[in-house]
Amino acid sequence: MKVLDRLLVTVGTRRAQRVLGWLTLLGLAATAVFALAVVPADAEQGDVQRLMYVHVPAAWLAFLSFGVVFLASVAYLRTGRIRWDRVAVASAEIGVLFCVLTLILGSLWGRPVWGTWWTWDPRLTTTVVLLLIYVGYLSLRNVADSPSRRAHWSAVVGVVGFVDVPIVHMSVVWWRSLHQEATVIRPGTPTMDPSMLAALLLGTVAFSVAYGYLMAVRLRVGRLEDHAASTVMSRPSPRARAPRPAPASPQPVGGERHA
Amino acid sequence: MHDIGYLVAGYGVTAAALAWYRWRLARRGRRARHLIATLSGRPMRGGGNGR
Repeated sequence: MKVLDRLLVTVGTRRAQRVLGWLTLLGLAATAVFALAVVPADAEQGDVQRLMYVHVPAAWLAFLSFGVVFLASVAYLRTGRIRWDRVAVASAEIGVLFCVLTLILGSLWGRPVWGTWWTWDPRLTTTVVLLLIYVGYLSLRNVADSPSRRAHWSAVVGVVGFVDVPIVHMSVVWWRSLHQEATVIRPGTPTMDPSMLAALLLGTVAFSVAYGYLMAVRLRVGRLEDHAASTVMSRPSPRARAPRPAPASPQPVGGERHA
Repeated sequence: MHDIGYLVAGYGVTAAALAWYRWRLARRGRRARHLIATLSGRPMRGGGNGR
């Protein structure tokens, strides 16, 4: 916990964010050059297979983000510290972005290879369910009426929702699927050409650095938004600030007073 | 040739999504800083840097 606390403080500084930003740009540019110009095209699928170098890292990042949501939610439920709730929601937001990206990239890859933009394949279906769980997680935060209740409810969803991540990963093993089986994270050695594997690993590292950068920026924005919300809450309402009208003197019933 | 179209679309969507999210975070940060400055009556700082 203390190590994580220190890490959060370190990446929260402007200097660390600037360094992470440049590393992200460099990493993504290197991935694009390597994937599009250096690595040979796939013998069967041709150039379209080069989408793998962004599709797989995007999926990895969605898993990583939701894993962080899970850990931060457990930490919140144990300690009750609002910092963990901020980490969880920041990671969930980034995870949703990359989960959507994974589905779009998969669709773009599936059209020329499978002949369809979409199919209710187990991997695709479980990924959509995963996306809906975390969209629900973010929506739930708008429903709760107090910050502590919001943090508590979302932490519970953050823990329970993570159950779908291993199901997405194992879906190609458990059920018949159009989607290919795991080629890197599997028992034994990866079944992939070494240069393709190198490009894929480069993409994964570059996307992970991008995740670190986006998390650092998102956490800073989260702190600012919380500060703004507490400033709004601490201000007296216009009714409380308005001068009270002087109590009216009792008037005789019937209107006019006669001398 | 069609393959190149899917490839351009894929890499383009990835770059656009990352740029859009970064832009959105910048806008949210600016709004929050502006709100804090307006309500507290203090001038806006460029900060909020992890303190």
